[in-house]
Amino acid sequence: MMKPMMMLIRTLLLCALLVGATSALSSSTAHAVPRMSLTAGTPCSACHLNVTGGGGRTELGWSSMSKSGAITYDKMGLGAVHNMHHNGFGKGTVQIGADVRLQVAKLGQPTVEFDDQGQPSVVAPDRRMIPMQVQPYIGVYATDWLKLYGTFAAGPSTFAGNLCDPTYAGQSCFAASANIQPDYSAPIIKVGHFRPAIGIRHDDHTMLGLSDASQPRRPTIAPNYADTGAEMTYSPTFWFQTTIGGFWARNLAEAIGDEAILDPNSPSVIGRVMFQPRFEGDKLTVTSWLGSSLYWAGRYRLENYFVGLGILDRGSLMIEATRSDRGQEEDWNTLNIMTMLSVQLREWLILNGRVERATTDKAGDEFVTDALVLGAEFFPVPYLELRPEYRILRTDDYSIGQYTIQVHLFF
Amino acid sequence: MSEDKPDVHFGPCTHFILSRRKFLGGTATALASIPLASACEFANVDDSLLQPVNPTIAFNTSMETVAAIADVGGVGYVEDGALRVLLIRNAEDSLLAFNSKCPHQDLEMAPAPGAAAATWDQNAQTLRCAYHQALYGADGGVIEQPNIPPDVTGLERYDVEFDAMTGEGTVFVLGDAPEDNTSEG
Repeated sequence: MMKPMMMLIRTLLLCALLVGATSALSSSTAHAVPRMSLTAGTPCSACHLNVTGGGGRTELGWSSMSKSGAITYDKMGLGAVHNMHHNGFGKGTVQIGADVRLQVAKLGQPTVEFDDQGQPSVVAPDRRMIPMQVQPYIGVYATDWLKLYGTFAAGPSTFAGNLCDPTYAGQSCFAASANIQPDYSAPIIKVGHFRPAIGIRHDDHTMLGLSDASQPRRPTIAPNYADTGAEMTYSPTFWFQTTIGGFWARNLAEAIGDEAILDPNSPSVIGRVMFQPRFEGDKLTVTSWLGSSLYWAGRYRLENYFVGLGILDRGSLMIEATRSDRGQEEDWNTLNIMTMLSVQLREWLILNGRVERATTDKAGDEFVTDALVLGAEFFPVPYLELRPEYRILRTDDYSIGQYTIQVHLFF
Repeated sequence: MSEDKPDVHFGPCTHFILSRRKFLGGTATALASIPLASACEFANVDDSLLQPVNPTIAFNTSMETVAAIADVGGVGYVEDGALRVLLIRNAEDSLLAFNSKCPHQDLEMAPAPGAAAATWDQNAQTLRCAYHQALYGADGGVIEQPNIPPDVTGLERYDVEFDAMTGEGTVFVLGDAPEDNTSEG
């Protein structure tokens, strides 16, 4: 039942991609927390220095969160913090920011241990607290038409002297780009070392979308994946945006790990199109996006399709499908689907639920992983997010249900 | 300022006190939910993997998963139910046998379907886990810790008999091998 439906969706969206890519030249928007784009009704670049969303925040993005909390700093007598006007220096010419995340979770998977007689028993992994992200950002508005952006993702052993220490293959410990836009009606040209505009950008790297069910816990497109190249994004009207670009796919090749499929010296190309119609009524404003991206390098091809529907300040629904293959010579295909519902109870309390299925067909074997995640984004004070979640993960070999807590400090 | 409400200031803590009740109430609710969430936790494996293992696992290089160890530097594996043993031909007359689960996060290191195989460096005599880059020596000891916490202590190692001429061998998973017969260790 699923395959004909997916083929139809794929065909329609691929047509949209081709039409968009040929009608204009451009770059991208992806979303660190896509829910925010839908419930705020703004493009990601309004709140993030990075045109593809995520990372460092603009003055608007920073200020919209600087007073969002169950208790704001003025109510705690910290008026100086509450009344900060922006996150920059030199009248906002230099913007700074950071994300720090800690996660409490059971890492790994249930295992079978055997006693001296060879009798089995199931052992759950231990719950641990791990640092997930320590990442500062800087953005420099060098001129009216040139914006520079840079970030460094500290690794687990960075503070022990190993400056660049990626956890996953293909992960980059830094990103840097120059964004050139002669005027606001012109395309944005982005040049540097950064993540191509693949689909939607999420801040939860455990999502199955860019993973491979046959290689659990080893994402194909890792968090902070970046390659060197250029993109051009064009948004002729508020409801349409398209991106094309090319990269040197060195880090992608490392993640693929097979030079027959992708040589480290190969180029990659990205194309992305996104429609963002918005419907304003007397009582409700409905936001939406519909889009697709295609990332292609060597024999590796990654297609992404996404639909989002939001009600301003109330909630959102997102559906995303990601498909990959490694050429006809290789019997290795993935299809990952995610649906996510968010309900905004307060500006500082959002409930989330998502279901995911990742399927891989590889050399005649099928691997399936399912995930169900129920949780909340709670901002007790500005610049602090607590994200409690209950997660169920089921693979062909095991299933595990656990609660997790993420502590997110940001600026 | 309205006429029916006197303009009385209690300082900046006024709002804080009122909000603190809500805050503490929410925090208490969140804390109370932890035992509930805890009670809902579970961990299961497929029934087919919950079988007792035999004390030994016999193998030979004609088996598909073992064939690679016919050559020095080759890596293969054997399994009995949920137990999978990584086999490494580290020398002409030597074979290493380890539990194939990396002890860091219990992820699979064998070159099996659904796993990112670890890399054996024949020259350095080291095994690198593909997931978080833990590096182990030929004795199973840790040379480099994985690049995310926590630290690990080492691989579980088994005695193994191996006849390089016939390509046949036995892994002793529940005890030591008989004296004088082990290929390594």
